[in-house]
Amino acid sequence: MEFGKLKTSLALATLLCGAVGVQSPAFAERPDDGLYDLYEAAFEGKRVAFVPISAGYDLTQGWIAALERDAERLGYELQIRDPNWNIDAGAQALEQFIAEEPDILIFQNNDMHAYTKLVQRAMRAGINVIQMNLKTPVNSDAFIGGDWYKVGADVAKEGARMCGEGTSGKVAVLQGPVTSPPSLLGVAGIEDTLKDYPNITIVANQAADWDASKAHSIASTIIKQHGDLCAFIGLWDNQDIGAAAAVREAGLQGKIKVVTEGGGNQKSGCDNISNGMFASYVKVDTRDQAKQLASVVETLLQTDPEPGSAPFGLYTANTLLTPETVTATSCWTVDQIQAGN
Amino acid sequence: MQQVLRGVSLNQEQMVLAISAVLFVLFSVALESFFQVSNLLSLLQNVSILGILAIGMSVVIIGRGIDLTMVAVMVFSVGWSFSMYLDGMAIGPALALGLLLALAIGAVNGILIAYVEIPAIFATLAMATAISGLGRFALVDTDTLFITQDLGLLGQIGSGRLGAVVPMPVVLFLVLACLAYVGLRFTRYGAFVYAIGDNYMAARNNGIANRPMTVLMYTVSAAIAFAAGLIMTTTVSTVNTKLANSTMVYDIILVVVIGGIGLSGGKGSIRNVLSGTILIGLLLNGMTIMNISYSVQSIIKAVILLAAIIVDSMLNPRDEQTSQQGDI
Repeated sequence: MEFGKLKTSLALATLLCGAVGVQSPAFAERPDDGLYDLYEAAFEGKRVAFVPISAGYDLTQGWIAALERDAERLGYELQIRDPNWNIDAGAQALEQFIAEEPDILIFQNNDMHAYTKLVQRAMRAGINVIQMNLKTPVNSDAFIGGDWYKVGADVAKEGARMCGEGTSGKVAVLQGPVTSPPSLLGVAGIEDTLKDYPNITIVANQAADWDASKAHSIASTIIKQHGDLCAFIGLWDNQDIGAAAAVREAGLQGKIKVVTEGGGNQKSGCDNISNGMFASYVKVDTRDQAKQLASVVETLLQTDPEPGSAPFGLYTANTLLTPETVTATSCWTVDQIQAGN
Repeated sequence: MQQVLRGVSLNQEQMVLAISAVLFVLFSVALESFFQVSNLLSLLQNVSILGILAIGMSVVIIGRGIDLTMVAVMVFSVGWSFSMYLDGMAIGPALALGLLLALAIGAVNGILIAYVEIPAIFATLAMATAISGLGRFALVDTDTLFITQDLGLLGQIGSGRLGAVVPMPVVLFLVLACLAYVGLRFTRYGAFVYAIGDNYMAARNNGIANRPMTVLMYTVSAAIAFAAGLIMTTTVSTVNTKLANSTMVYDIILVVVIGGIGLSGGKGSIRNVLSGTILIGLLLNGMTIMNISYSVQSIIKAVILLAAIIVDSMLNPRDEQTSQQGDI
C-alpha cells in the first residue's frame, strides 16, 4: 500500500515536471508581424454553417473537403446539414441555423427563388451569408460559383462549332429541373447565343431532371425523330451521360455529338471525354470553387463585415475540354481534393 | 357516366387499349417518323424499366397491398452492388449481395405488414425513407455512381440487342411479364395472391397461409426492383440514387392503375400492366416528339392518372363487401 502511494506521487511528480518542460517553449513568443496574432484570434470559437443541396455528390463533396481541411487548420467549427435534394428540408435547415446564429452561413440553392427570404433574414440576424454555385436573385456577402448564363453560351458555341457547314445544324437541348438556376440561366444563354448562328436550329428542348435515365429516354426518342441530328447540348455531365449512352446505343457515336458541362470529376467528366461519350465539355472546376470557398470563409471571418454591405462574386472561369485537349490532370477525384491536391 | 361506361361494356383494360390505338393512329398520321420500327422499339425500351417495376407492383396490388419501397430498393440494392464492385469486389458476389439485400428488405416489408399488421401504405412509406437514409449513410456514399469499366456480357443486359434489333430491356420486360403471368395464372401461389386480395378473411378461413404469402409477395416485388435496377444501370452506366427521392414510384402506380388493376385488390392481370405501360410509353414518346414542355407533360400525366382513378372507382365501386380494413 505504502509502495503504491510512493509510486503514485513519483508518477505525479514526473508528470508535472514533464508538463512544465513541455510548456516552457510555448512562452517564447513568435515574432509579431503585426497581423498573425489578429489572424489567429479571428477564427477562435467561430462557427461556419453549410447547407448544400445534398452532401452526397461530387461537387459538394469537393467543397466540403476543402472546408473541412481549413476548419481543422484554422480552428473554426464547421457544421453541415444535408437536406438530400429536398428544398423544404433545406429551408428548415437554414431556419434552424439562422436561429443558432453562426458567424457564416453558406448555402447552395436548388431553386431560383425558394431561399430568397431566408437569405435576407439571415443577414438581418447579423450572419454573413455565402451563396454557393447557384445564386438567388438576392445578393449576400459573397457568391462563389458558375456563371451559368456564360456556361449556356459556351456549350452553345461548342455545339455551333461542331454543327457548321456540311451538317444538318439540328441540335437538341437537355436541361435539368426547369426552376433550377443553371437551367433557367443556362437555357437563356444557349438560346441567346444560337441566335447568332442562323444555320443552327433547336429541334427539341426537354427537361431531364438531372437524371441520366430520363436523359436516355428523351435522347433516344429525339434520335429516332431526327435521324440527322447533329448534337445534344446539355447542362450537366451527370445527366448527359444518359444521352451519350443513347447515342452510343444507336450506333451514332461520332455522328451525333454530346456537348455538356460539369465540375470536372474524373469519372463523370474526363473518363467520358476520353472514351468519346462527350465531344466537348465546359468545365466549371470544382477544385477552383473549393479553394475559393475556403478562402472567402477565411477572409470573412477576419473582416466580419456588416452582412450584405459589400457583396462580391467569384464567378468560376470556364475551361473547354475536348478529347484532344484532355490531360491526366484536367479532372479531379474527391480523394485528391480531400488530400489537398 | 357509369351507365354509359357499362353500356358500351368496355372494361378498363379494353378502354386503355382503345385509347392507345387512337393515339397510335393519331401519332402515326401527325408525327413524322413516329411510325417506324426503330422509334416503336425505342418507345418500348423507354418504358420497359417502368413496366418491369409495374409488374412487381401489380403482384403486390393484386394481393391488396402496395409497395412504395420499390424505387428505393431498386437504387440502393443495385447501388450497393456497384459500389462494392467499384471498390474492387468481383461483380458476381457484389450482385449476389445486392440481391440478398433486396430480398431481405422485401421480407421485412412483408413481415411488418403481415405479422406486425401495419397497413401496407404506411409500412412501405416508412421503409422507403428508412432504406434511403440507411442507403446514403452506410451503403452508397455518393448520389451518382459512374461505371466506366466495361462490364462485358453483363453490360448487354441494358444496352444489347436481341438479333441486333430488339433492345434487351424490352426482351427482359416481356420475359418477366410472361413469368409473372404464368406465376399468377397457373400456379397455386398465384391463385393465393388473388384470393388474399379479393377477401383476406375468406382466404384465411379457407386455409391459405396469408402471412407467409404476404411476405412472399413483397419479396418478389423487391427482387423485381433489383432486376429493374440492374437493367437501368447497365443501360446508362450510372446508378442514380437520387431517384429514391423522386416521384417515380407514383409513375409505377400510374401504370398499374391505368392498366386497370384495381387498387382494392384481387383483380387484374399482367395483361393490364402491358396495356398501361404501352399507353404511358405512347404518351411519353409522343410528347417528347412534339417537344411539349416539362410542366405541361406533368399536367397531362396527372390528368390521366386522375381520370384512370375515377374510372376505376366507377367500374369497381366500393361497397361494404369490398371496402375492408387495410383498404387503400
